Amino acid sequence: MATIRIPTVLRPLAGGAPVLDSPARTLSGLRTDLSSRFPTLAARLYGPDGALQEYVNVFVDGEEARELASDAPIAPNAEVVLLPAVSGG
Amino acid sequence: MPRYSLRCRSCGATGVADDRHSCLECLGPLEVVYDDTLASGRELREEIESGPRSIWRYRSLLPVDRVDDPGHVGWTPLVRADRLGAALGLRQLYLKNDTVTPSFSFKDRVVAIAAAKAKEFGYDTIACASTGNLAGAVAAAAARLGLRAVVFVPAGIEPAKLAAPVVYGAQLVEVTGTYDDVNRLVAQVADERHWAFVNFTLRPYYTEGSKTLLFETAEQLGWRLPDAVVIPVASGALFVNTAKAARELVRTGLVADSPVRLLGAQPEGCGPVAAAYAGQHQRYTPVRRPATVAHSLAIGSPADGNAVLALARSSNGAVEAATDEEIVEAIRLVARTEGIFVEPAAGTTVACLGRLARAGAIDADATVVAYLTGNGFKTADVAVPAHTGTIRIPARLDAFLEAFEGAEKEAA
Repeated sequence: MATIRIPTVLRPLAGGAPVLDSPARTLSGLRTDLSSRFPTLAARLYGPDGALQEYVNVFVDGEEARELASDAPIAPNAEVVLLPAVSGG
Repeated sequence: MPRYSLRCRSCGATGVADDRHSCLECLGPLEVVYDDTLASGRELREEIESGPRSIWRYRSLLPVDRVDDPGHVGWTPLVRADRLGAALGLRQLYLKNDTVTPSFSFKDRVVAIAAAKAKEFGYDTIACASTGNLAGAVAAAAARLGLRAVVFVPAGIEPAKLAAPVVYGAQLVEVTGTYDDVNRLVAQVADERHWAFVNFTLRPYYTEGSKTLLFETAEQLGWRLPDAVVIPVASGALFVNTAKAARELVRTGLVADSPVRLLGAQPEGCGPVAAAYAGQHQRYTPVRRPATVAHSLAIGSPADGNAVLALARSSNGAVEAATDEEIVEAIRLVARTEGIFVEPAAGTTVACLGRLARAGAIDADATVVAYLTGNGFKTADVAVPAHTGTIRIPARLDAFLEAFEGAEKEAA
């Protein structure tokens, strides 16, 4: 199972959990999994076309998902980090 | 009734001015908006002119309720730069010299606001992700305000920028990776520690400090806006807030409404916004592996990059890029013509200004202001030429005369 880290601002949409497990093996599988279990969270993360919303970042083992194809694999023990868009600088 | 509130720059949702850092509706970035009943015109101008010679003279236009900062931040010189202007073909060139702030970069301005808010909100620790200058500014502010500082930087930045936070008493955390990797880590740490991350959790307030560069510039020009401002682009916050400052100056009647061209400057080794501008794209493509001497500008995924693109276009401005060689040459040019030793970010600004001037993109009689955002003594090695022409002699007059005459002949 991959581990999904949920930031504070999104935890109310994930039943309050800071960490979730997911059986997803691809990025599109992650979207399907979250949409079925946490539709409000999924709606905050993904637009109607399935693309990530502008102010959300998803990292899979440090790789930014926005740069990856939807069938990009998620390893069984991967760490998926959800973050609000980070400003910095 | 509060003077200001927070508004989402994406969906427009508004909320009270607390320490949330992203929109609860869409996660978009928040900005401070001010009540329309603000003082304005002559009344506000008199209030400002009778205020302290620091950023706090503009406190009516800043989101701070209590000022107890003993540091002297802001009101830096606006230098008329005729010698540099002659070299660039510009007859009305001014330099906003932010090399002379308490920690020697413009970051003291943004940190002063964020640190004041951190105290208002009851935090005891301020923190940041930094390419170097911000770490120094956060550490210095924490020291003078009695706060604890924890600063995160990418491994491999300039030694002077690593030394300063430690000397100021901060906990320094060097992270293996790029600045964007540091930023991602910090976003996760922010969920684990109740610290005020000045450029993340307190960002709506932090970025407001950027406005004070243009507030001061306008006042120092005799309460008028310049025709063009040249701004280094890292995250893009300084660029975006220069535009916001211009709007607020006009809205409050402090200056007459006149167009300001916003000109952005990036190094070619990390110039995602300049590349998108040149390619006429609406959005930039992140740079995964920045490679430039301008470490302060080495942000591959600038948060406000797309906003910079839109503002550059709507203001008839531009976003230009310069090579590392041009940046180093510009540092030497500013030093030799104006006696100001700047760091590579400001070298980038001047190098890009030179490019735009040579291309005929700037009227020679336009009032142009270039922001010099950091001090070159932090990055001195970058600018020292391989052949310095230094003379080393024993302490005898004949040795001096012989060596000096030899050096003059060589120079001729």
